[in-house]
Amino acid sequence: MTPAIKETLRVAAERGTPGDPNEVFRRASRQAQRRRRVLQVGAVALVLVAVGGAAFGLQARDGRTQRVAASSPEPQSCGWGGRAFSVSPAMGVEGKSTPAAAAADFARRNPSMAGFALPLGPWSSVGEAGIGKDVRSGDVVLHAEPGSNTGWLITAGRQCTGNGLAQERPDVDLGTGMNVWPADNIDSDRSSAEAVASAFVAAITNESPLEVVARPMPTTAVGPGPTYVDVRVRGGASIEVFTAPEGDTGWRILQVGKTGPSQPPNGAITPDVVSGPVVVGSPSPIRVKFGAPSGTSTATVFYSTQEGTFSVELDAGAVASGEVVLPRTESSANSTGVGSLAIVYRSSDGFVIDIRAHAGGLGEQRTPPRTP
Amino acid sequence: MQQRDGGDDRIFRELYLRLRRFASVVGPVEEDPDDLVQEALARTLRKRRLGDLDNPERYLQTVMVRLASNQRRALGYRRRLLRRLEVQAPIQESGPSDLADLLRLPPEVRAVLYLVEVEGWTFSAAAEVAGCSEEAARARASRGLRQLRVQLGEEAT
Repeated sequence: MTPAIKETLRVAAERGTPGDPNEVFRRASRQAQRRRRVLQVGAVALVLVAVGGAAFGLQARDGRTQRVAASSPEPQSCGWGGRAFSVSPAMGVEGKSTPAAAAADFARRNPSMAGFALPLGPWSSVGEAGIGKDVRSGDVVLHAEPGSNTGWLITAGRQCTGNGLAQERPDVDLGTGMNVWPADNIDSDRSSAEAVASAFVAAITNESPLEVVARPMPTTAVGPGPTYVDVRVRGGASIEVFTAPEGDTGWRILQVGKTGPSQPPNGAITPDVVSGPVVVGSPSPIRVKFGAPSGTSTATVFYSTQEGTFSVELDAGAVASGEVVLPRTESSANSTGVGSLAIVYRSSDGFVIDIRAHAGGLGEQRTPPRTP
Repeated sequence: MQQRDGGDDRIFRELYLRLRRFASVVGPVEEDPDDLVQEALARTLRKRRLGDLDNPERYLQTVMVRLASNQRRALGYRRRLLRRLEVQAPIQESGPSDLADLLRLPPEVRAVLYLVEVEGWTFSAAAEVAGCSEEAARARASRGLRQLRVQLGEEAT
């Protein structure tokens, strides 16, 4: 090594003016403590979220209670005594102008449902049940409900069996996440819906609910239909969790909102979700706008992505701004965005004032990277 | 403080100047060496006390080399992006040109050169800090020196 290079190294080593080592140590020590705390809080949150993870926009598995109990052998009428089937949202497209149009669309999309010959004949409404409508064609009765785009969506169905007697048949996997159950009946066990709602609320509020009561919709006559579950938490707030069975895989949380009269899934207040600024070559961040209820001091935003469920704490300032940009968690620009989102609002004494949620497919549309 | 930190502050005070000199050599020119020392110390204290380490100095130096490598990658990306967008990079290298040439070398190479040539360490010990084998450390040092000589030679002509 030449003396010049050695001298350069020495000069480099003396760059700048040394600070106070005590001050550097104090700052680093505080920084380390803060990070340790964040890590601990993160670990606790992870455990809680894992408990409720199945419920949060996903599914809970409980084969024992999610089946429909066959306690009432007497069929009520044609349409209620046959085999029921559940319908996943992917099987139909909401937004059809009438229940009959939704049913026709459903039949067109799923012509080969095992065991069910879905006729494409004229569809007729067979009476209003609650907020939904039953639509009948031939020996199939489909149940339509208002969708989130103000149109109609098929949510359940049943095949008439002529004399109304239930037929025994093995479970048939239709390959779309849906199963056909044998000998379904009008009475459904709602305890697993309560369990799922309770686990979900406990996971995001960090406290056990005081009271959990399932409130089946009138439309349950067509099988294990969607169910509202009223959950009362410690602070006195009542939360309404809207659940629906999904095949034989469990109950799924569809919406969370305030307790009130029965309302369609889209009735719950949802955050105003918009895409954030586009960064070339990167996924667009998701900006969530929300209107916090009065008395809110802090809030926690939970959001699920393909890489797990994450949370963001909002202080009073962030709550007042009514907007939060979710930290990006995707490891690649191609991964989908936020799946479900829930905001827990708390008062200054830590009580839960309200929970609001939004389900499904936020920020999935990506702007492709521009080529230079 | 001493009781709460189990003597870590005393250990750090003893090592501080040496660690700072090392940080000045391996850290990016845009960063204050104290910041690098502080970050390395914070990351170490998050997991363990300095008193529990066999050789706290070497441990902190290794952390600093890794942090500097990460920063170099991030800065490299930013510089490339700015160059592509034809924006004048706000990062201005200061100091004598031979110092600038030295700071253009990867942090691992700078670490090995400094520890061996200035601090008088063996290649084997320097390799531990740089996170590579002794042979790799020798090769890197040799390549770094060659590069420096070329650059300095070019400037001289």
